[in-house]
Amino acid sequence: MTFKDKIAIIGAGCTQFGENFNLSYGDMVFDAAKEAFEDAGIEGKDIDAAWLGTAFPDAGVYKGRSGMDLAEPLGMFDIPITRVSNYCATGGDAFRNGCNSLLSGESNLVLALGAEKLRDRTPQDSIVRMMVDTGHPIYQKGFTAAGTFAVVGTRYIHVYGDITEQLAKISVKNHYHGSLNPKAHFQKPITMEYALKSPMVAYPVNLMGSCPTTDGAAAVILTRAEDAKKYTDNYVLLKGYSLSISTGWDLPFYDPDYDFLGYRATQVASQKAYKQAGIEDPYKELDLAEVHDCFNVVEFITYEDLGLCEKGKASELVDNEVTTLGGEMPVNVSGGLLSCGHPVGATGVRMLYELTKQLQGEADKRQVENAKLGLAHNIGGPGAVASITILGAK
Amino acid sequence: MVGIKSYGVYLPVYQLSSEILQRAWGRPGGKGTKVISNYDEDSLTMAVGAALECLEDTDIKTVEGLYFSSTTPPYGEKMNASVVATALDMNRNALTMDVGSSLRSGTGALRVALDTVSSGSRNNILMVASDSRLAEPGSYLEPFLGDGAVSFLVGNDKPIVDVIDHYSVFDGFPDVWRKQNERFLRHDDIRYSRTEDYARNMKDALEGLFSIGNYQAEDFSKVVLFSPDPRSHEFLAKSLGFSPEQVQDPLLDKTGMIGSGHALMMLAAALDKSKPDDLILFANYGDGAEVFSVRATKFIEGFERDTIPEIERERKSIGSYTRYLSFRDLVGDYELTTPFSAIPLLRREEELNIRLHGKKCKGCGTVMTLALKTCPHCKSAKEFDDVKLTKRGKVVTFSQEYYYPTPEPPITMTVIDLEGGGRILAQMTDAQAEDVKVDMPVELTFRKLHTGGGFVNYSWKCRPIPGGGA
Repeated sequence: MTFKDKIAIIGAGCTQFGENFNLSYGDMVFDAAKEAFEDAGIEGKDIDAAWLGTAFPDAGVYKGRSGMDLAEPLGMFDIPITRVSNYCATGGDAFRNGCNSLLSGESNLVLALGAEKLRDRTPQDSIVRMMVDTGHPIYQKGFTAAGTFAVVGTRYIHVYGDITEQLAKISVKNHYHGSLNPKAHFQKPITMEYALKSPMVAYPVNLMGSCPTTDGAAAVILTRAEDAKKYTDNYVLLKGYSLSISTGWDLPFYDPDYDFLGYRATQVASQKAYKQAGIEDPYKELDLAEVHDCFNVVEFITYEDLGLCEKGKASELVDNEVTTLGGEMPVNVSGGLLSCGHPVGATGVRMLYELTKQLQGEADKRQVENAKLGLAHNIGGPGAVASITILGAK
Repeated sequence: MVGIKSYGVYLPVYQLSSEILQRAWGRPGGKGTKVISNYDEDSLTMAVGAALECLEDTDIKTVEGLYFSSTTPPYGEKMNASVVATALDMNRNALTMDVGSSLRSGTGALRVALDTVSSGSRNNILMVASDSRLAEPGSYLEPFLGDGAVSFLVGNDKPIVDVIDHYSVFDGFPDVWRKQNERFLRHDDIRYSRTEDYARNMKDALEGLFSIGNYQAEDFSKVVLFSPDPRSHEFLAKSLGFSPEQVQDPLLDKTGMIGSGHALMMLAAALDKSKPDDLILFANYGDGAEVFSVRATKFIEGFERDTIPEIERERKSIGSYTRYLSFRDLVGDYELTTPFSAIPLLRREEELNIRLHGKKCKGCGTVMTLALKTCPHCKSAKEFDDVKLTKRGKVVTFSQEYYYPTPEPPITMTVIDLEGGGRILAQMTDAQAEDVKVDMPVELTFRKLHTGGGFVNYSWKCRPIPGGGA
């Protein structure tokens, strides 16, 4: 079954990403939804089903555990709302479930919203501490999120040679892009020297290669394509979507088959989505991509997993500046997770917000010229689950 | 005859040099090398290391008991020996027992092991003496204490030495002591404890043994006298008529005094060089004294142990006194974290995580190292064979964590392919970050991971193979 051109995004909203010390979880839900409602020209009461993506509700004041944490701040009661959690693919999965509801005929106008409040913390608490205090008492003790991804970089360097400079170039590129995005957490460009000299977080990933701890929320309004015109002329269309869980939380580190040179979840999900969208050569056909650069090494490896280049050739894409705004295949023109930050549940929806603006030609200083087809990608947990969404201009 | 079948010594990789102590306190910091345990080691983990060394050529399933002796056991209540026995993958019906609270507990455990076998109750008993004792920072004792563990396997079939005579005396007044809930050792007037306490107790025990065995000083090819300092045993030996050539080096300048295993380590060093029919006198001290006479058998020929090279191996400097204090948890706040830990979970996965038994898929032969019911390779959930994992392997990949709380950043998280199959993830320890490479050989070593739940979570880490092995 193909879903190509059957779902439309008719509105999108996104809060400022950053250390939103003056906004609660509910405030961010409200702000993101309000912008999306206004963009679509609708009101909250028009929505008949919603999906809420939050990955780590325990990190804060328990908000985001259930659909009620979307209903309460928006006063949207008496409709089905489901909270979705799928590590870094949470936002993408909330969107996917919203699409499925529309396709099944259960609903007619859907809100898919991702929100994460990571900066309401007990003193001395942090995401690192969360990795220390939770999880299996033995298996991954010693890992932070950075390390769980960094192992791929180490193996890649062993097989294909040094990529230190290429990783720094990705950091520089995404911080440059972030400087063009007023909603990004970081909006200052950095130099190569600064990127190369930044302190090591988890070898081979350094601080400038790591996303910050960020609050934020993003929302999109969906309807079936045939109904889109009722709301707006400037909608974008779903071309393909796919979610793949291809290993487990612990298994990658205990699986003798795994080569540590890429993420099967991304490979599988992207191939399925390309097929739906009718894409044969993603490098030629896609105009831009938002990929999951939680750490620069993940963006690097994702070039290969998405088939934007051959295995072992990602360095060439970086060195030729192909993925920089103005290049042939711009990646993370929003600034990516490295600049926008990574409020986990919000990130996937924030990427859809970015693609929507780009495909509508409303991305201002970071606009990719003549953008017609864009891809959003998330990988998480640490490399187990990937979400791919491909959107096209009307 | 009942005797000793094997032995093994475990010493940590780090040393605290006299220069570091001198810099810290502005006065002489002792002489020689003071071997100290890593932050993730304690008397229990070092005991596993010594036992593995001792059991190198022994099938663990033939060992019927484990006696663990220490003055510094991690648990005050809860048996420590049973954790060591689990890590060693001993049979569930093996005898396990803790012995402690005295420097003489090591030889006490040896005595009980010998008696257990002599009585006919069991054929093979393993004993381990292990300590990581703490002197108050800046105190007189600080430059003299080291950490380490020594293990002896006692049995009646082909022992490398027969144990002949034994004599002991006790003394209710102490030399060193530590009350419950205190961390640092206390000591008596040093002159008194050396010239009176040590000399009197050792002499009483030695004379007791001489009278039951009708021994003469010249009967012994080697005389192993525990000594609380580098000189006292020399005065004692001289007063008993032993020549300097007979007397075993007390090794204090090579390791520091490693606690209840120290005298046993001296005996091991003496046995390293012994020939069939050598008669050895062996005396330990602490709350009295205890003396053995042992004779090497023909089986000592061909019994290869590298105790002396291990004792003399070059050790890594801990770098600074502050780092030493943080290793001993006397400064720093990494213990602020509270890792989740559930005893039912640890118990459920003991076979895999502690005993190192994986499952081999009957369908495709893949060795599974996670507690899964489905083979990750062929996805079948049919039948699996038990497979004992090996403790050696090669690094597949790694990352180095600079922000995970630890007294020794970075933590190297290492993916390892084990010899004979199975892939595991483990922290690397005893290593310099810059020395870690993909494909380097490593071995597994039993360590403390954390104390989540107030319970010590032990598991296997990996380390570079001591002395290279590459």
